[in-house]
Amino acid sequence: MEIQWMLVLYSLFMGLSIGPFALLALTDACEKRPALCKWASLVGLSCIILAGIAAFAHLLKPLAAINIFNNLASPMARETVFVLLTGVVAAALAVMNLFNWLPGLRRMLAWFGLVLAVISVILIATIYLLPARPAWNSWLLPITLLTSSLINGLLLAWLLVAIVPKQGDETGLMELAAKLRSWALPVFAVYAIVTVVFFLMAASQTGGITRLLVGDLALLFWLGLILVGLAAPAALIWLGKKDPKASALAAFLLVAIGVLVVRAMLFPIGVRIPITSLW
Amino acid sequence: MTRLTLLVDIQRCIGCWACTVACKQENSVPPGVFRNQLFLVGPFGEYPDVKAYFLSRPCMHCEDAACVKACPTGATFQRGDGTVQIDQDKCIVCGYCAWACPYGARQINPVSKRIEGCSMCSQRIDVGLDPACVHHCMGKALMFGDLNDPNSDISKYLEANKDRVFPLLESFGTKPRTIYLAPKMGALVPKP
Repeated sequence: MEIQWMLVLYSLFMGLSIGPFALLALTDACEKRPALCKWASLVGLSCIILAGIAAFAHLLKPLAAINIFNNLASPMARETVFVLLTGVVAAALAVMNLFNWLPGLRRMLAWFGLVLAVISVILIATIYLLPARPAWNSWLLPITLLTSSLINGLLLAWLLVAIVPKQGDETGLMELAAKLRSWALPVFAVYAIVTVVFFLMAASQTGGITRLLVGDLALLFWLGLILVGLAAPAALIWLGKKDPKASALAAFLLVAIGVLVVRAMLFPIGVRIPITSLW
Repeated sequence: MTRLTLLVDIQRCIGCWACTVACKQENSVPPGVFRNQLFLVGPFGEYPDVKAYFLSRPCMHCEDAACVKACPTGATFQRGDGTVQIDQDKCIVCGYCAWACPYGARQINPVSKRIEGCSMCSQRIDVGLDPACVHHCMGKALMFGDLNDPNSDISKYLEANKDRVFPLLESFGTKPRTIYLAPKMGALVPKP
């Protein structure tokens, strides 16, 4: 099965949108850090817009997308509803942060956006749960995509805290960055374990583990996922205390590459059982 | 109510590919894309006891079709006669039906940028003709008709050969309506 790059990017960007929402909902950014707040909400909205563009680019007849809610029983229609809702909340949050409207409501809205973004990522993952594709048809797949989105989002939040310029006498940014880094460590550990287990199990369903370890997927698995996507960023997150800006940037980019590889590998591994294998 | 069904008797199939060619010609399906595909199953065994079969695979027009459930726009739908059809005006060509179908009966047509799937030649059956694959099958391995009519040729043939009926990929639970009859010879039967 060919890699559907637009779907890979769509899933990556929707996953990234979790980070800015988490930053606004789980920290004091909304109350005390207006510059960070503005940047986070703009980056979150941009991620969802890019995800939407990638999703539309995947369709060969995008103008017919007006029909996309005709069958709400379809996992794809349900996913689209939640992605759109997440986008509306992100847009509202960005406008409120830009014009400094209703400060009391912003954190509540960020919480709402965070929940919607997480649900969207889960729903995006559940469209792969198809009996016709045995390698995908496991709950490890949604967990893999969710944990990969959580870690990538958290690293985006860490990066934002590290690079957004300090405003006036603003204090506590280093502590905030350290807090985000400390959250990232356990999430990263879960992501690494779940992802490797998922791919080993998925490969065993479609051609055997050797396909992953020494076969056609070996380069993506060893270089893209294990080395670039897991080992290198793990070291950077671990060592992140020394130079948070450089560590956050490098860890974010490497994990993003790993997350891309995870999504790209789903396609060659998600093959159908040949009907001639019945005999 | 009618229940239009295709029946594939593997015993009678000679692997001439007429079904595939006729389908392509009737429905303007380009090379590399198939609405109805013929597979070679086997060979099995050791010389001189070697066997092989041909398996014609149109759409199964499943009762509980995975493609119908998956389609977000309702472009894939089931008609009252049981056939699964595509409304190309509603289709966004997301390809999700092709992912969901366990039989691989759906493909994206890269030329026309639309989803290809067997409609049982709706343009022909609506005017009382057989689907193109059935019409051109010289071994009469393909039959078409109303299974709810006990006097139809397909019902009678099925009744006479019911011991050879096997459902293709039954474990996926989509309740395929296309009926397969296993080869008579030898002990090689499809795995459950």
